[in-house]
Amino acid sequence: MESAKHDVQRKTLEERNQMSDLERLRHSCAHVLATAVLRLWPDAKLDIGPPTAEGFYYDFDLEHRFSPEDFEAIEAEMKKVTKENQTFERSTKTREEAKAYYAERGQNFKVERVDDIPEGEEISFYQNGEFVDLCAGPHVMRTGNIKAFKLLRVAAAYYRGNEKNPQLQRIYGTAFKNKTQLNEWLEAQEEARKRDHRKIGREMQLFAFDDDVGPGLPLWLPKGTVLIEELEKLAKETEFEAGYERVRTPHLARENMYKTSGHLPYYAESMFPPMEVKDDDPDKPTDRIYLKAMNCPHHHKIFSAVPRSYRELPLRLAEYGTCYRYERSGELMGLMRVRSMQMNDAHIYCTPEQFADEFRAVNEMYLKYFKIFGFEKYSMRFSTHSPDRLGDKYVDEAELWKQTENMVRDVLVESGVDFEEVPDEAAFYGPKIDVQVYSISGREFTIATNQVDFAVPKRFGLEYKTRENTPEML
Amino acid sequence: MIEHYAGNFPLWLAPDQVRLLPFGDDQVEYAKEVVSELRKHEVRVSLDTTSDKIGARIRRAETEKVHTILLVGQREQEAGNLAVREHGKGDLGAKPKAEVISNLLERIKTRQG
Repeated sequence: MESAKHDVQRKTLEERNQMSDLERLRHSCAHVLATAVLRLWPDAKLDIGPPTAEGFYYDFDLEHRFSPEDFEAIEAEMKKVTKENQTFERSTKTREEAKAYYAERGQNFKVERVDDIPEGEEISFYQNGEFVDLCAGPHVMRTGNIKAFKLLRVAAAYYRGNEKNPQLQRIYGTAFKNKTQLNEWLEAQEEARKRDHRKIGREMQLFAFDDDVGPGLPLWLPKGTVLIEELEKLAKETEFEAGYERVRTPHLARENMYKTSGHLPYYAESMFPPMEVKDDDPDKPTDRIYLKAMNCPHHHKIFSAVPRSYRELPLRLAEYGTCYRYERSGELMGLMRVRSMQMNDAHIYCTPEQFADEFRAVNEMYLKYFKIFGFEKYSMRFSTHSPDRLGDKYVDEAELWKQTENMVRDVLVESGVDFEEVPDEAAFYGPKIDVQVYSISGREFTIATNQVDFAVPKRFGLEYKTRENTPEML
Repeated sequence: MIEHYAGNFPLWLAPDQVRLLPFGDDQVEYAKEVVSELRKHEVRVSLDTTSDKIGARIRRAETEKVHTILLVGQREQEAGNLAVREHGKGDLGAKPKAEVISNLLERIKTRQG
C-alpha cells in the first residue's frame, strides 16, 4: 500500500485549456468512476479526481475498505455508465450556492474545495446522468466516448496530502482511446514490472537498503559492486582515449565555496544541512561544512590550483565522485531517486572557439557507449533559459545566455541529432542538454547531461594566460 | 542499466560471468584447472561441486543469471573439451578448452555480447 503525501496543485485555467485529448478522456473517466462508486456506495464522500501521467484517480472517504476485489463490480457499473452515453453538461453556481449544495449532501471535502477556486473564476459543475461534480473541466462530450478503461490499484491518500488530515481511499485507473492502446499499455506495464530494478536488485543481490543506514542510501553488495566497477573501467578507458585526466576530490567543502559557486542559496534545498565544526582555537569562527551535492566547484578549484596557460586547453577533468543530495523521503525510489550516488562527472575547460569541437567529441563518446549497451534510440533535450527570469532563476547575463544558447543550438543542428528545445528549464548558470535513451520496454531515461557553464568560472575567477600573456576568463 | 538488461547482463558486465559444472568427482580436478586459468585473467568464475543433479545445478546457475556455464563430463574431459551453455542461448556444444577460454577472454576484452 502506498501512501500519497503530497497535495496536488489545482490547475490554472491556462493549464486546463492545454489539457490533451487523452487527459480530457481520463478526467472524464474519473467522473465515471465516481458515478459508479456512488451508485454502489451512496454514502461515499468525494474529494477530487484529476488526470495523472498514467491515467486518473479519484479520492473517496467511506467506511467500506476498497480492495482490488471490488474492481470488477465497479468496472461493470462504469461500463453501464458509458453505455448510457450520458452527456457531460456544464453549469455554474455562485460560491454560496455551491457550498450550500454540498453541505446539504454532507460532502464536506467538496464544500472546502469550493474555496480553492480563486475569486473571479466561475464556479462550474459538470453533470453526467445523475452525477454532479464541482469541476472546471474540460471533458469529452459523452460518457460513451470512453471506450477503454481499467482500474489499477487502491492506495491511501491524506486529504490535501497532509498527514494531519483524514486518510482517504484513492482508486487509480487509466483510460485510452481504444482497447488496443489500453492493452499495449498494460503489457508494457507488466514488462516493466518484471524489469523493475528493485525486484532484480533483490533477486540478484545487487544492492540493498537498510533502515539503520537510512533511506535513499544504497548499500552495494558484491555483485552490484562488480557492475559499478565494470562501468567505471569502461568510462576510464573511454575517457582516457578521449584525452580526459582523472582527479579526486573530498566529499566535503566549506560553505564559502558553495556561496562562490552560487549553489548556495540557489540549490540549498537539495543539499544536506551543513555540519558546524569548531576550530581548536576558540577565537576562530565556527566552520560550516557541506556534503558535496555536485563535483563542479571542486573541479574548478583544481583548475585554479595551478597557473593555467592557453596551451593546456581544453583541459578535461573527470571523477567518479560520490555526491549527496537531499531528497524528500516521499520522493525516494529505488536507485532512481537516492540521497547518495556515484556521478561520472567530467568538466571541460575550453575557449569559446574550442566549444563546438569539444561538444561534438562528447556526443561521439555517448554514441560509443550507446553502441556497447545496445541503446538504439536516443534524443536530446536542449533546456534554455527564460529572459523574464534573469536575476532570479538564472544568472543575470542576458547577452551571454543568448550567445551560449546560439552556439549550442548551432552545434546541435549541425550534428544532425534529434533534439527538442525546452525553454525555462536550464540550470541557473547555463543551458543544458539532457541525453535521453529509450529502453527495450519503451521507457525513457535521462542517461547523461551536458551543461554549458559560462557564469561560474567567472565567479571562481578562473583564468588562463593567452598567447599575449594577458589573463582571459573562460 | 539493470532494467535495460532485465538482469541479463552481457558477458563483460555480468557479476557471474562463468560457472564450471563438473558432472562427477572425477571431473573436479579438470574443472579446477579451468577455474584457475580464468581467474588468472580476472574472469569472475565459480565452481559448483554440490551433489545436486546436473540438471538442478544448471537451473540454479540460470536463475542466478550466470552468463556462461561450462559443463565437464567424462567425454569432455577425455577430449580436452568444454561443453558451453550460454544464458538465453542454451546449449552451444563442446569445443576445445583453449578455444573456449580464449573466446571468453576476447569477448570480455572487446565488450561484445
